[in-house]
Amino acid sequence: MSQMLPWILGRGLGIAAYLSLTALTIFGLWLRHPLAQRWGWPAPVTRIRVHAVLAAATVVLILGHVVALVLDSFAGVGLRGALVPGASGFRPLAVALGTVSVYVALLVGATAALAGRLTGRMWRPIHRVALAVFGLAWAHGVLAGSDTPRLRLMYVVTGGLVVLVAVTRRMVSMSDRALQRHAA
Amino acid sequence: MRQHADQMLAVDMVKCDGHGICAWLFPDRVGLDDWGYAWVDSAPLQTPSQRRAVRAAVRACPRRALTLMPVPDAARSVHP
Repeated sequence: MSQMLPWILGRGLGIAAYLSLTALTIFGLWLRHPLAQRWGWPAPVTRIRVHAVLAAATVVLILGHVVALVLDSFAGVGLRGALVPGASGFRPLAVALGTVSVYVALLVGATAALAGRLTGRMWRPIHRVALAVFGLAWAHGVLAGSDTPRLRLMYVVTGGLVVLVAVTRRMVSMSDRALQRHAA
Repeated sequence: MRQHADQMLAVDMVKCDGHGICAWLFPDRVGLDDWGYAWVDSAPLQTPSQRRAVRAAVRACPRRALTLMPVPDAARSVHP
């Protein structure tokens, strides 16, 4: 059992990090979703606070996931495998997707955290890449997870939810703009 | 360069797109209405932390909707 602990921790924290990232992405999309603006739920300031808290939680969970798997001598990932895309002995492509998603997530998160100070308004165009972080993490979870068949429903539901919120945000915004042009 | 104590924060409601990062960076003076658009307390800026926060909020706005403006004389009499 003690030998399995890093692997169990790594898997558990990986799934928790994925779920936290899913909530973070959905809240991020919901921040300026036309329906959120129309319904006013939750309050705009609350939406931003929840988004920031989820971002911090996701970083901590990802860190735990990586450290646990690096420390697991049976996992075949290792420090180099975790840091260098493609260098993992275990499912190199799948692990590489996770590594790249973390690097992109750090860029997205750091530029937003330093907005107005070091990174000015550059955070906004970089933040558009956030959806790709979720896509990479989703693919990483599906392809690298040793228990993916048992979690298939989770990946379908969470992936579907993110796509639904992203598509409705785009469609309702376009529809609102078309109505405004028509009214003008 | 103009001192921030002689300046006040203003928001261009036509430009504001409801990103909300200004309210996150400067909650003392910037709030969000029910639709997520910014409103500002335009009292003159006093403390160094307010000056730092207002610079960050102005620079972070992707729509350049926030600006620092000179305090009009009438407002100066309300907020000495």
